Amino acid sequence: MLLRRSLTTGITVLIISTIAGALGHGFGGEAGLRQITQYLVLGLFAMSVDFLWGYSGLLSFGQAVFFGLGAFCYAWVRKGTFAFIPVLENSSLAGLLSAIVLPALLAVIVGYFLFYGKITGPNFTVVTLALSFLVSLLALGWSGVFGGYTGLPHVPPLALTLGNWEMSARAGMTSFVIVTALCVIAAAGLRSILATPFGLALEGLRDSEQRLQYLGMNVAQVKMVVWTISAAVAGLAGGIYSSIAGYVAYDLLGVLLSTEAVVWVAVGGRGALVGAFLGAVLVRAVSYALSGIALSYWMLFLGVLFILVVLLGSNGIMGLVERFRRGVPSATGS
Amino acid sequence: MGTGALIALQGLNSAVIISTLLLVAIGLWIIYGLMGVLNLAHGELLALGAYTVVAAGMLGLNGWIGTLLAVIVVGFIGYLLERTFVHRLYLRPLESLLATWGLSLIIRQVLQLVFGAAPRRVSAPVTGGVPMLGMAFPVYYLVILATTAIIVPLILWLFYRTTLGMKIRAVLQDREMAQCLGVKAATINTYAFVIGAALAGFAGAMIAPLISVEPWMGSAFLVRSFMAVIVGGVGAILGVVGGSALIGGLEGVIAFFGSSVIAQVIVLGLVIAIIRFRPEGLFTQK
Repeated sequence: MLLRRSLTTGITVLIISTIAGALGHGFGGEAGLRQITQYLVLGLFAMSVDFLWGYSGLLSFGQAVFFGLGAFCYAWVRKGTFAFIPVLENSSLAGLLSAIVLPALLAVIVGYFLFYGKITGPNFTVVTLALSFLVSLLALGWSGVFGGYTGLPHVPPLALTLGNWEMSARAGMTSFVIVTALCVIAAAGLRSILATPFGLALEGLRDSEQRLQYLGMNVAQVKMVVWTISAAVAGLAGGIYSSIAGYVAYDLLGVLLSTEAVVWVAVGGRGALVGAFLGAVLVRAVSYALSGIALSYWMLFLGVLFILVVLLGSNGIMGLVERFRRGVPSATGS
Repeated sequence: MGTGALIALQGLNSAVIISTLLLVAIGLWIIYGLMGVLNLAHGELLALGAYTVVAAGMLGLNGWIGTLLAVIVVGFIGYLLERTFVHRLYLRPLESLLATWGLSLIIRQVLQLVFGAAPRRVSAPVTGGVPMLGMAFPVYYLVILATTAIIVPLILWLFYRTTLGMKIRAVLQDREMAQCLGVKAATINTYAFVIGAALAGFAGAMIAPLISVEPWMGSAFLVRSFMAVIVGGVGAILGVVGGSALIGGLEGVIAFFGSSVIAQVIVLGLVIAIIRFRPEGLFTQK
């Protein structure tokens, strides 16, 4: 059961990535493929949001803090900011690891105050919004470290060395393959966590926190764990993002990206990792197409999406898929 | 200038910060505390108020008329919003967050399309200074302090001494029971939302001369006023007053020693720490 579910999720992510990559390459050649690769990374970021919101009911408007921090971590390591620490000397692996560990650490600290302080519901969302808002302001002001308005340019791409084998993701195809592989692994991994008893506790958290408490679960602790995992995944996505984009700036930490990720999940369908992934890729692709027509309407488009998602009240694309499945009785009975 | 005068001036500056914050926070609190809708577009309602003054200035109207227009225009926009879609969101906290955030993005974009992204400056309706402790304290600051000192008791009176206020509190306490007793809950909610929106518009108009008016100016005020509401406690209006005083006062003091961004970050950290140990808010009695 566990294995089959994670396999299905992984394979679906693989199929979506391949189709998106083929379309991107078909329409835009090498540049199109690079664009799509970025969207796939954002898809990974969206899955971290869905893990938190769709499955556990914690709606964060500050997830980009972890994504952005991951992006900066990778950039710092690769640009030699931490060169005085021998282990962190400009290696891609160290860059990605720090992009996972530092956001997770931050999540533990913030989470301790939020969850043990019993900040729930809308208050949780707005505290995370405030966090994201102020962290991006702080990054903007602290230009020595975060690069201010211009950000940090020329972040080197991923380059891995294993013995004699060397691989550099300078070519579009290589980075596409690496990103796809990471997305597949992350999706399958998150899905397998959800299939464990802990995953069931998460769904309990979403449906009725009180009942979970009556069952003797330590609610704050469960929240801490899911929050930290989701921050680590978001940080990883951020690290990869900066390796592909080659450029990081303060807005990667900001409220706009945090909430855009929420829209991706809502459009794709809450509580379905594949939906979140698909939502991110689709919304980004559509807004890219729209930005060709009128760049300045992008925020308007996003705002309208938010309202539509609420007023239509359906569960995005996955909701439609579900309805279609129920309407057509399946022959295998699965 | 002596140390005493410096401290007094700092105190007055902080009082101005607190007053403006309080005006915004009360509007947010009415809509959140009373109706369970956390209005993330509240900051943009404030921005709309500020831009109404900008527009009035472009038409050559007096600053006071601009302020009055801001109250009317934003109140009316609040009415339209409540009637068209906010009323669907009551008691659906998460959906209301998503929808009002979408709304705030739309308002920001529209403001940017109409007025441009460049910051605007508004001149205060009164200029000049009052000599105080050997230096000139701007008259406009005193106007803000005086207005807040009138508005806040007025709101208190409205809530605790009028029939409308009683109905609003009744709907808050038990919506169904209030409806059984003949209170039209939907109408009461509209009133409350319009009052909250008009207050935001008014606050925006008052603040406009003190800062640069930008399409995204609302976010900072949303964050700060939310912190004021949550740290004070959602239970009573006095919590909002206490929360605003705490947030605004701390910001004023810390900003005196460092940058205002650092001040806001430190204050957020403190707020999160306070909530950890007093989730119900500092000024709520349990």
